[in-house]
Amino acid sequence: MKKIFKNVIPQTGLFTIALILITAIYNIIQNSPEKLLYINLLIIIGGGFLLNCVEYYILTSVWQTSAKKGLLFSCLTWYVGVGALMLITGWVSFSVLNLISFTLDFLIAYLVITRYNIYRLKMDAEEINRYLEKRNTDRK
Amino acid sequence: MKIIIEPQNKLEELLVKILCKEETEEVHRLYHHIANYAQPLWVFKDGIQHKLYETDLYYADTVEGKTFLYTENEIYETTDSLLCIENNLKGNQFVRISKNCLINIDFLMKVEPFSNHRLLAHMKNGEKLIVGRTYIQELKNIVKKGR
Repeated sequence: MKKIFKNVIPQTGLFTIALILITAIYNIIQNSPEKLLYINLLIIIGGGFLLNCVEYYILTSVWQTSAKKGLLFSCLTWYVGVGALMLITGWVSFSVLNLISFTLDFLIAYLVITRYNIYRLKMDAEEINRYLEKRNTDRK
Repeated sequence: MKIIIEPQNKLEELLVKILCKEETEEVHRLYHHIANYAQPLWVFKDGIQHKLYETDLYYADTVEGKTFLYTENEIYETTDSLLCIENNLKGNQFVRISKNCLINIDFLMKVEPFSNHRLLAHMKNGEKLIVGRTYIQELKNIVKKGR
């Protein structure tokens, strides 16, 4: 279970993105009938990359000042970013019903990802504490 | 381990000899401790110069371009940069936990999860320091190695 969360899932994510990138570039160059779909996929990946840059480079300073502010700004950035990407790609149109369902979907996904990150962090902390304990016992 | 002190009148400076069956990690660690004792850090407090041994140093950080060194109860200042101190201490029990902080893992009590994928390091003197997300792996590797 530990290996699945620590290695398998992140590696699968990377592998999937790499595969989509290669397929999209190939199909765009070949001018395939699904060209638009692949352009949209590239926009999604590019947007995700940009949002991650905002999270890791800009929001880091906000996280350092206040955890609550950091969480709020991070959640807002992703909410607005993902919403904008969906509108840009034309996958959804703007309506109140869509907005409500997107908000609910987003909150569920954000909660799951946040919980997963906390789980990984907890595992890291436990591992370090185990080694520290062993280190201290060996010294005694 | 046995410790023997043999006073010798003819000796001009202190001589430490380690007698061992083989050169283990423990022997190397002991060697580093003694070597560090012989080469202390020169630090300042209230304009007065002090001698600080690595073994007493809990952590070091940089605030507004100034480098501070923390022992159990005292705070000292140095003119050296954190990078310079880190290089001098390299190969010992010190590890970088953020862009501006370096800790001695001998005084690290435990870590716990903190916001934004960071860890909170609890030092033995009660201080709490933040471990940046990019430094977690390095900390883990060093604690694992038991350096």
